[in-house]
Amino acid sequence: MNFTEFIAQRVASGRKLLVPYLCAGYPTPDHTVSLLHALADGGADFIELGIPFSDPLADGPVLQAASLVALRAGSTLEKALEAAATFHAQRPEVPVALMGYTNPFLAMGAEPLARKAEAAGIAALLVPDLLPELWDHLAAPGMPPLVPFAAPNTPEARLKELGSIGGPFLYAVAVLGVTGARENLSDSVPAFLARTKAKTGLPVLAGFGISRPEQVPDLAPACDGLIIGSALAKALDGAADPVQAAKDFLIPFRVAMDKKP
Amino acid sequence: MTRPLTQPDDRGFFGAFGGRFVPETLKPALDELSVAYAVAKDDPSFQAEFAEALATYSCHPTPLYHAERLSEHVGVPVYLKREDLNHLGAHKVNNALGQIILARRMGKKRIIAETGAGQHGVATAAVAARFGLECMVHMGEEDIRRQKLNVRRMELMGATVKPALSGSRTLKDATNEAIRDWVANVETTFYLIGSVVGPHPYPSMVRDFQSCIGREALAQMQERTGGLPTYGVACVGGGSNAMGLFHPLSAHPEIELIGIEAAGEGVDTERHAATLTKGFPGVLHGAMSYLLQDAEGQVTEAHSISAGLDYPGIGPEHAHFHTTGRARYESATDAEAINAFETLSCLEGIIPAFESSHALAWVLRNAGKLKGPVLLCLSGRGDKDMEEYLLHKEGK
Repeated sequence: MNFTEFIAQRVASGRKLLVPYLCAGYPTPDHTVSLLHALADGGADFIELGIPFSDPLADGPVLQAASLVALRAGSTLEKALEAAATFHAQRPEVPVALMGYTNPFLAMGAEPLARKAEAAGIAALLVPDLLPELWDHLAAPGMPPLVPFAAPNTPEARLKELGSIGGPFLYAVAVLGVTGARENLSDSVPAFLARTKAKTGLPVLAGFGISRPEQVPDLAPACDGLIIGSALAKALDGAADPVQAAKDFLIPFRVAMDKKP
Repeated sequence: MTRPLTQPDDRGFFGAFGGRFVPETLKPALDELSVAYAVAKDDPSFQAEFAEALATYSCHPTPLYHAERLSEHVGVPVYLKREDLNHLGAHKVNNALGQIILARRMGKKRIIAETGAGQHGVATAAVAARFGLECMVHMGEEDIRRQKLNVRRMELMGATVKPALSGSRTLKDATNEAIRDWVANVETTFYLIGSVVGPHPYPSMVRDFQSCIGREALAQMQERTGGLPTYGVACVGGGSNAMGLFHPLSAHPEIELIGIEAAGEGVDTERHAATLTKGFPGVLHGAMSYLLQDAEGQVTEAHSISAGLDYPGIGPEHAHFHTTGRARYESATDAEAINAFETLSCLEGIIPAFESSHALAWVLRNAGKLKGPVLLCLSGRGDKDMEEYLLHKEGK
């Protein structure tokens, strides 16, 4: 079963997907494999493994700081792929997608990236600063499928276009702005998610600004799953036992998402 | 025989460079800007308003000055395009005027900009005051500390200066913060970029607004000498004064175009800003271009005594000119720039900006070997650099 079928099957079964974003190498590269396991234990359907970058222009202060800590600790794309490969060998039922900015991927080169990603079982690639019009910059045999993004200001015609470009799912950016926990999301978010789902015909996972399990009942019914990044990084920051902290952080989201309305 | 001028393709690329490497959130804003600019570009009333502002708010056409003693010193005639005489003392105001007139036509109420040393921030604050628009300038915390006077000038003209606290806290990070601000406020805000960098259509739009430099200089050269210069020379950080000069000149294949990057303490040290000399292609701030980066694709910090050249990227059209060989890019060190700063001051009574001093350094280095007249863009005046100059001298 490929990743597109995997997502489609979970959506068809009525399950809301829970997708944590983990910055590779945060707090140190030695933590990455055990944190992937902790998130799988906590109920993740799949995991986004983030590649740190010196200039993360779509990220707010929390993920900027996590990226910097990881880079200083020696995190690289190569090491992230090795961690993903180790995890994949141990737990192939929980897919890992890579999320990162264009430049580190280009620096490795599309062909070596495709080869290593395929060997590591990488399910998909999310590149927030690469519009589908430019996906040819990462085209190579064996490259995992890329994921399109949409934002609250994306026009309807563009949503249709994104739907026809396709992908295993669509990443709906819930806010105009950068990543980071927000106390409250705008009331218009569920309508945006529903519109995005209707116009693209793709499974829609929502991210940016989701920080508390209490937000789940408002958001989950309007989409197929939620992506949680900055709030997880915050929970790991300074934790005596990051592995336990990751699991403890995720479980309440799983519980909230499995609750039938 | 003149050659056609380069234009970006449908996706905003000059050859392999440029494009729009941005989040989906910015796509509608860039589409809106592209359409608005395309309409304005062909609208005589826009062009008339821009020309009037260049002439009366600044002082275009700026003079072309035959630097006689410098010419004697280097063995060929040297003509300085006096962009240092612009309002606020540098070429930056040309672009700021063009973009703010466009922003107003688009109905935008809030202007944001990034700035390094503060030249572009001051130009943006000035034109925002002139047109009565709200203005926020993102500036690295480190640069705010080093450039207190420019911060006060911006504030005096009503702008808010927002410290960028991420990364190295300099221009690169101020640009990241400006882009983040734009993403969050995209529906009301106009991002007034200061150089020929960023996602399409900024590189070609900023170039067009700066092209008065080259167009005026060509006409002035022909009127003065009856011919063309052998060389067109300018300093290159992001590259806006250089592209403003080069683009109109590039129609004439016989003119050699030479861009001078900042070599800082030397291109074989780690402290330089020589992007084309030492970098390789990559993506930063929305465009594919040459970039100072490590083997992992992490952007490295640039260094130059000239804050205006202290940037790890370069405009994509320069990367294209470099690749096709239409322009040649060399570099000058901090020490060479200081020497040129002193030389022009002594020989001509003109104190050049540290940035422009890099271009002058190339001319001085090649004294006695030059084959014909030099047209050099004196992009800014050096008053702003006096403090740094004195510190440098004391440090010796």
